[in-house]
Amino acid sequence: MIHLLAMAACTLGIRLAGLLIAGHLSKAAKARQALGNASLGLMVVYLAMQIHGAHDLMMAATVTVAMALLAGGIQLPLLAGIIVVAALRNLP
Amino acid sequence: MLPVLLRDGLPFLPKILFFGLLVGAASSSEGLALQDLVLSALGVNAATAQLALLKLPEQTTVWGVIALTVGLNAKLLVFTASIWPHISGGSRPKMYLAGALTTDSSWACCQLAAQRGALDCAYALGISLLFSAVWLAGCIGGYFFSAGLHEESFRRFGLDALVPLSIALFIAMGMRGNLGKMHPVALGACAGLTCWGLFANQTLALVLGAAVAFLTTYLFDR
Repeated sequence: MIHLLAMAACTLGIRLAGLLIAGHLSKAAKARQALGNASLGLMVVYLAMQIHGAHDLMMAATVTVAMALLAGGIQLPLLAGIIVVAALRNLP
Repeated sequence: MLPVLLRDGLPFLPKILFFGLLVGAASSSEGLALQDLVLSALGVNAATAQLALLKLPEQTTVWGVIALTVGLNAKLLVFTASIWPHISGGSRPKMYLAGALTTDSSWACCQLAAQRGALDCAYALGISLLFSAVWLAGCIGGYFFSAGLHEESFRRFGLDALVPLSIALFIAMGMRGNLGKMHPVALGACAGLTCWGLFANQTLALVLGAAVAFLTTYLFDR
């Protein structure tokens, strides 16, 4: 129980610390752009890690992005990407 | 607001529910009490950390748990920091509650909404509450009805691909028309991936990637 409470309190602290740090930093207007780029940098690293772990994500991500750029929308491109992943993992 | 949240959240809900079922099933088989599972689902609200908690050795100290939590969840700091500019217009209690419930999925959903200009405090709070409710339902469902649930079936249907795909979508949208200003992002990504290659530590790599992108923009961009 004490372990669970410690983990919950620590996770809450991490989440709220992000808000507090961003709130403090963004008093400078430049920091807002920097936060946007930090978010993008994190996402590029995260995506590369995920693709490294499951190579079929590369094809699915290409389909999703291409569909979103060509036809617009979010839900349908995501659904198409998931169908591609499911097909790649289930078809012989 | 609710129809918008349901529409935007719909692609994420199967993944959240299924992963919740897995965590609930694992908690049940490890002998965790139901009230502890509920506390864990609401308080920790992160699958990897919840699963890690189940496998902790008996002699682990509180400091050990804190170190493990920081290692697993430090990325959440960057997640909440990155949505702050959009949600800071809301009241403080709502803003902090939205931050306290932020997960991988709610963050990805919020980032996609931000691209459409639809992200504000009410949206972030609504999507966080919706996803947390589904997460809790999944955990409780898995606790009682765990037969036949395996991570392999989760993978077979491609549900694990949802967050990476939404991130790919967000990256493409974020970079469209801004490629000339993306050198801090590229630098951050190179630093993060190099760190990952050298130390094989995902959290460190994610935080470093974000930090380098932030500092490069903040210090050198005019």
